[in-house]
Amino acid sequence: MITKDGRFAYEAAGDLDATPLIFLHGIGGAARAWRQQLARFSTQFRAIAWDMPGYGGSAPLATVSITALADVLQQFIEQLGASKPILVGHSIGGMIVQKWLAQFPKLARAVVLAQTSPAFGKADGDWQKSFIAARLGPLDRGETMKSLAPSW
Amino acid sequence: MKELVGDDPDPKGMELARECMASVPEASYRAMMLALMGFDQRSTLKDISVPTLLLSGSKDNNAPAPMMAKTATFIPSADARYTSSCKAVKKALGNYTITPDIDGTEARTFNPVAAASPLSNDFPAEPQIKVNKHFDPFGARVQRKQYDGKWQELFEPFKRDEEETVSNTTLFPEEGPARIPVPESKVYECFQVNGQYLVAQTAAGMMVVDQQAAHQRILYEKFLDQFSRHQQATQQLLFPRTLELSPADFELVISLVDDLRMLGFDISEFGKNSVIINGTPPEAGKGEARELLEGLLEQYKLNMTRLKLDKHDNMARSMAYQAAVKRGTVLGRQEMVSLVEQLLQCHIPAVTPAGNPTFITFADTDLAAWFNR
Repeated sequence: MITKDGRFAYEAAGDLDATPLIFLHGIGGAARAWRQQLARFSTQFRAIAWDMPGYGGSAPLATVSITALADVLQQFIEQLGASKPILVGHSIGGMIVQKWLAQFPKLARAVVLAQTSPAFGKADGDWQKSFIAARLGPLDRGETMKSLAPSW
Repeated sequence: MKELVGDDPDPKGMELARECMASVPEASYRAMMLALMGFDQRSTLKDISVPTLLLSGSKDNNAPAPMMAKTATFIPSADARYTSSCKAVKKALGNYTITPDIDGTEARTFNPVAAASPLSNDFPAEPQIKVNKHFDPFGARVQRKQYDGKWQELFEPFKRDEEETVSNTTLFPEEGPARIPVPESKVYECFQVNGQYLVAQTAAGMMVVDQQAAHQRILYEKFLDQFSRHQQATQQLLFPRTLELSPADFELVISLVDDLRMLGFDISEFGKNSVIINGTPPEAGKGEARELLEGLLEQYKLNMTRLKLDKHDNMARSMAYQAAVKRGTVLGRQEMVSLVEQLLQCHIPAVTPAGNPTFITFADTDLAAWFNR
């Protein structure tokens, strides 16, 4: 499904009047990764999973940062008319939720932070540099997302 | 791979995860990776006032359970659990996550797996990560809430099922909803840049639209719709065009003639290996009919070898590519507004049929951020 402003693709299941339960996927994920959860939780919730901006059918951001993603998450919530949602953030999705909480501390009913961290560290750290190099290096050398995918 | 999954991974879940990863646009993946840099919300954990549940996988070395347990100690309203016995959550989350090695305590390497895949002869060299064993996201600078030194107790195996874990009613106290207004998707203003991009003002903020990509999306959905409704509209040519084709292309055109009619072509056989074009789809405008059909055939054949599309999907795509307004075409204001509004009415407006972006947005908050406001 697509939000009214055309910017966000998402999958959803459950009663429109039920408590919104929004799933945010990780860096290699997609809305459809949550299909089992949507099916399971749609009995009690309005279960929703977004394609993060730049993924699937969602428009990319001009500049990507966790702060920008948190702003955009709020816009997504407003597009859905999802008041007092429960947010489930996996990996980078969990980071977006943490940033969003700092900006909108009272808007969630509850949050779930799954397999995520409150800090990544400074860009100039050796570990962080090699973290990025290990992930983007193969792409720089001409690998594709498709050829990377089986490798994890 | 073994390091990334639990003892009994669900093959369907693995396949889904692989598929998701493979379909992430490379540019987005790169941008997200770089966005992780400098992320640090440690100091605001203490301000989290809503009920918070932390989940981690017992086999997860990327966001290790002890690190997440530690995180929980900073959040006044937190509850930390791990999910080794929580099957539903595990399937999607804990088992085969590619969560970045956030804590730095146990970073891994990419580990190509010799899966039964056409790519398996072609694996990338295995990149290495050097680990800073001393990296700790909880350095001295953050004030912690009372730490009782018994966090290990949090990791006593839970015998709860997913229902109990997530729909725990105490987590979700009832509160009255606050209505949030939903903005309309109307284009207020629009202008063209470099004959290629349209800058539009909408209720959501500023959009920059790639005119050709946007038109491809619009036409693609329109042609698909025509196929599903068996609708056709043709503009009859004043001077019908004959086109001589290779025997293979001729065969192809003849086999597709009914489908081409649904796209808006009026074509019939005209002697050996030749066809006559009497009409073209109105969307094609005044383009040369022969070039249009030839281009369509080329694109169709290319898609056939590269992608597994069904016939109509392929034709709708190929035709959309041929007929879409080209870069460098100057558009009038009404054309621009209509293009953007039609785009926003598409089922999947944000990407072309091939998955490239059609537009980017600058929300008001993005603009404010640029100006340090």
